[in-house]
Amino acid sequence: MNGEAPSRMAWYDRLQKIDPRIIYLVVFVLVSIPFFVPIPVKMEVSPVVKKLYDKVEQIAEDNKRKKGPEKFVLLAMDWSPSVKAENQPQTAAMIEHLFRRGVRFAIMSHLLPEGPMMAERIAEHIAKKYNKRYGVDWVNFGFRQMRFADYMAFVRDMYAIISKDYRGTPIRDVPMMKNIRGLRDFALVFDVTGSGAYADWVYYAQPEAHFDIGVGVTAIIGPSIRPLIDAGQVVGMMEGLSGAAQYEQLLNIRGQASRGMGSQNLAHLWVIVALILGNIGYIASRRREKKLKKELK
Amino acid sequence: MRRNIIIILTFVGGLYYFLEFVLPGETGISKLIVEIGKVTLAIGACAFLLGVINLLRLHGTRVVLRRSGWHNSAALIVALFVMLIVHLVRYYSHAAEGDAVWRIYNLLWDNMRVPLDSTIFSLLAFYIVSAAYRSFRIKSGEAAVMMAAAVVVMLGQIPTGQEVTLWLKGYENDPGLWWLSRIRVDTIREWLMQYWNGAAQRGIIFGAAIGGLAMSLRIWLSLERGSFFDRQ
Amino acid sequence: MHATYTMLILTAVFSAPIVLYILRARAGKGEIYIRPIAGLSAIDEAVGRATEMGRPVLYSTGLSYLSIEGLCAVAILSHVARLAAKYDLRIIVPVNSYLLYPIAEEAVREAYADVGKLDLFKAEDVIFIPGQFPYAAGVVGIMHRERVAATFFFGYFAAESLILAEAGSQVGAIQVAGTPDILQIPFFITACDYTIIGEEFYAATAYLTHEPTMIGSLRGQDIGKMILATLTILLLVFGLLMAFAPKTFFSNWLLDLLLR
Repeated sequence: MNGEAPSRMAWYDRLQKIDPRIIYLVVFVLVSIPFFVPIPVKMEVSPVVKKLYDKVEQIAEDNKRKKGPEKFVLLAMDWSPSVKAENQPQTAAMIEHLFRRGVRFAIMSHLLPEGPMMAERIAEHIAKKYNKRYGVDWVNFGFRQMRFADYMAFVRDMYAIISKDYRGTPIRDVPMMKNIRGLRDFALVFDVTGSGAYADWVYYAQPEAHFDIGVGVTAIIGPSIRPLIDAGQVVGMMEGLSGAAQYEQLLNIRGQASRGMGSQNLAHLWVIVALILGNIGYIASRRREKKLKKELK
Repeated sequence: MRRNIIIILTFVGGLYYFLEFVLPGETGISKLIVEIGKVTLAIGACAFLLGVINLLRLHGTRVVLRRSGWHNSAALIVALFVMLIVHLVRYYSHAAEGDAVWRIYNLLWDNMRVPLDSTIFSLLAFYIVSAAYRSFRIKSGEAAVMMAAAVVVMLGQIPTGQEVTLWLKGYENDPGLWWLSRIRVDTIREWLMQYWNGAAQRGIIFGAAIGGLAMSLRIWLSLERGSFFDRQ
Repeated sequence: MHATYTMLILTAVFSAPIVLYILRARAGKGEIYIRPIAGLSAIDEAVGRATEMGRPVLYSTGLSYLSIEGLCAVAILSHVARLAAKYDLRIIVPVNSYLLYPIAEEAVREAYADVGKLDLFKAEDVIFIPGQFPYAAGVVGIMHRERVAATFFFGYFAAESLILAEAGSQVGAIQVAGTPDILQIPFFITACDYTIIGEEFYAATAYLTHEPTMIGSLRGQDIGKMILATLTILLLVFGLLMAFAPKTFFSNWLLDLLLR
């Protein structure tokens, strides 16, 4: 890499200077293998995923036993195609769960117009399995850009902000909406995002409407949600692809996340191997330097 | 004069939300919030148009004057209008799935837009591995601790890593050795993420919140000084 | 939701030092020291290096929109643009938010005007690129095509941070990054030469301008943090007392007060 002929480099220097192209090639190969050789995965379900699952189960049970007015779930689809690999399986797992338990839901996004579009396709696909119909079992509000104080308006008068659904139908003509007076009828907001969109729901909407919030986030965002879970502001989380795979396991399905975990498994192992190799080289070169220094003295 | 008007408007705007928050109960101020929310939504929508106008202005100029890379700009403008027109036609014609306009839309969206976006994101997988390999060296005790934590967290979230210590779960009900079931790699991962990471994140949130409060106060009271704001 | 008494009192407690120290600083009372922040000091070095190489600099505001991070990013942009204008250097500013775009353009224009080089300002160098990964792809393309000598990443970044930083590293640019989002810090530290972490980003405006008002605000923030730390320790102590002596009036008192 520095113009040095490889044969002159000591083994510990070569370990520290593996050509990035080789690293990329190994990543490519390892990620591709499970596409052709399915690797079954069984995972330990983390408590944060279980809490989210239990929340949906609780809503379903309450609705079934008619404990108060019917409660709904709002799917805030604040994700774009770029984070599809992680957020799409999370969305699919949640929609599967909601359809299976008969919990009606609404889809919307306040951040990205693509989210409701992609969620709609997932919902339509899964709806066939459970004989669910648009307008009766779910509704799509589409994209409504909101920031900060707009949430206060949204919470206080949802119909002032949402006048039509995603298909252009006046919202009050959608059959499902007859049972929804406002945002306070939603027991859970499940925000799927690859950015900090959950913060708007937690800090601006939740204090007004008092619903629970669950999140499906890319793995990189996951650590920042932990304090919110601890404080009770977020009830549960699907963290990255593994979170979605754990949720699928709870649902006893082998979906996109479970199939993708094979690739993630191998890629993570390669990262660990690369770290170990680099550090073996580093430690060996440090020892060599110390030895040389001693000899010079 | 312009500066004073901006200061007054900024102050009044911030004062409204501050009073709405601090005054108890539903006051006359609270009743306006829905209407003001609609106004801010409309302003946001208008501002969205600014971006489109800027794109057309910038890239249109490049095409008209045949500046370097003008063909890229032409491609952008064509893509913008094609996607816009196809979407509008699909929406307002209430086309059914299977119609020509739906097929064109699916081609543009599913077969072009989505893969393009996902491809750029997928670069991260490669970059993360190479960046981690290049920079993670155990140069000190703290680095060693960090490395160990990183390896445990990575192992704890993949099936293979969890398998390594899954056998310890068998000791859950053992009266003497129940503690062994707690030192599985996935439970250690959860512990690190929830408590150690959570505490650090919370500290960052506190600091950032106070920083945000200070910045908000400075903007609200028009105290923000800096090469840019001084002139507004 | 409206403020409880506790929220009101805490808001006043945290706001008072900030306002107080701003007023003190404006009145010229007391000198306040800010420790050197390596990343901000490196801005001059980076621009100087770009001038020697005769290549442009790139300033990315990331995914910042019209928010506190975005406005801080614009304030720093103003400083960098002024330096670039002073040395007749081209500065390319890709902006992701249509709300922030006109503000960024105005900031760069004003910076050039301040040093009397408005004729060198090119509006097409402030570029609007919407979308997260289209933004990343666009900026990477600009870095490679223009062979930028220095890159500045200030603002709110998400997953595209590593893509941008690695691309800058590949073209050999000197890189300075700053973001309040702690999740992206590891990527910037890995790939950039200087990184500004967390609240140093908010302190940047004060640091670069040495404006007394800004420095006073920084001092007030530090006092606020000390108050918060003290409160946290007190709550921890009372929490432990509650755990071991739940029926003691004394130990419930503070929590009852805070939850009122």
